[in-house]
Amino acid sequence: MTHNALIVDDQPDIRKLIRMTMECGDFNLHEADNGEDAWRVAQNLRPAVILLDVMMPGGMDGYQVCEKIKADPLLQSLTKVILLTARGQRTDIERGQTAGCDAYLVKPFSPLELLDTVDRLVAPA
Amino acid sequence: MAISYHQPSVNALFDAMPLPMLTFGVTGQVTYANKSAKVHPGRPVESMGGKPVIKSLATAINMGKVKLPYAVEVELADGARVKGQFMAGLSGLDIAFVFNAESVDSASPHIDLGDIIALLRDEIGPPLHRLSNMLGSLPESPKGSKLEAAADELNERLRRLADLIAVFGDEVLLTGDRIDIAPLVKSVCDELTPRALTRKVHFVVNEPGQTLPPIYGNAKIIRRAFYECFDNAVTHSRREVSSKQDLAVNVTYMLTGEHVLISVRNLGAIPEEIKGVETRDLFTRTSALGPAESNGRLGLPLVQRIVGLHGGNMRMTAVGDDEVRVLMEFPTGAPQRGHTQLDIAQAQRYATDLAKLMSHRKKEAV
Repeated sequence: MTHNALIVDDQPDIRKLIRMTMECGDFNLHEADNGEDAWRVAQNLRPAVILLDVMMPGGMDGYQVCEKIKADPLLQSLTKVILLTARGQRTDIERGQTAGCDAYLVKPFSPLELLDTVDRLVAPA
Repeated sequence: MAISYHQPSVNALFDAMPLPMLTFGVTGQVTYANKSAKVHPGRPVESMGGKPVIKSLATAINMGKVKLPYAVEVELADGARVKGQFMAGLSGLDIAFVFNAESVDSASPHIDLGDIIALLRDEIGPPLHRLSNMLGSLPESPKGSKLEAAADELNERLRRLADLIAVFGDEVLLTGDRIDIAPLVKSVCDELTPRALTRKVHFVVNEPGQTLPPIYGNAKIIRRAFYECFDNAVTHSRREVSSKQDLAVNVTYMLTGEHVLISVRNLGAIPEEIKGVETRDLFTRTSALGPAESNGRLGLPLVQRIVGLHGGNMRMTAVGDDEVRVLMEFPTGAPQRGHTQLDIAQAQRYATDLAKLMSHRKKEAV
């Protein structure tokens, strides 16, 4: 069984880089460019992993999407959330932990680091 | 000055030059001066035109005795010495003199907003501080207290004026702080409550029934906008209302589309009744208003500028006779991003690790 992965970032270039990296693995890749769409897609798709940008324009940022996923009875056990952010301060990381994220990668992140994190969190199909 | 014979388009071109430029005829008279030369504080037209030394130089140049360009230092009317170069003029036997760039820079040092703010604080702050101290040391009397309050008020207005100038500068640092509205509103109300209570004004906060998205920007100056806005409402509440009555300032915040709307409204002494809405000009000249009405006029332009810097807008409306509503609207979430430096950094990181990534995957495939 192939896992679903959702890539969420408002910057198309970053989504493209993450897609390039994730194509190395056995994933069906999906994308969203804002928090509200990400939440909607996540509910329908129930992905194994979400690669989620924190700072996004619109009505929901990455922390809020993460909070919603981790508060959802179904998704909280199915979906791992990796927050991707330029915000690397201790308070930002603590904020991510409070939101319930499973991993926190600070941009610019390495593709190897990203793959290792995904491999660690998502069991092989 | 002799009649200029340059084409208007050539004159316009020279006028666009930041460096002063003059041309001289063989008599040493100025035949043309561009705009920079005309407005130069050293008045080069007067100080150089018709001087025997210029006439001699023009003659020597035309006889080929002086090789062009010819660098010189000349003394101007204000005593300043500037460096420049004589070169061939555009027509006939004219010669031209063009100031060197560093001469212009040193003659008119660049003053930016930061310097003006520092000057304002340095020049006015200390005497005001001394005045406050002197007033504070006077024996207590109703008149003395009023003077002290007036000095404090003046000091506060100057501080706001300096802050206003600062946020109108080009170097306002827009950081990407994440700001939750609810705790910010509470914190500002808590800070202002002691002052409000001395005026018998109470804050009534209407919280939304949902979690609002955050706004992103400079947390320090956004807090300042909230402070000024709420403070203005407190000040405005007491205007023309009997001091015996308790008054309220209503703060409501809610999500409207992709914006967070913060509405601050002073509830006057009369029953809540919308009598019509008119838009007020934030920059109304204080001379057109009474002393009480002019109170706090510096604060709202500050709010408007801060909100505008964050992509939002601010409106102020009068509701009825003594009610004023100020609306601040901020876009939710982070600002739209283009191709920023972060993308380059991320791309470089990827480029560095790409070979390792491929090797990693090849090993896995084997």
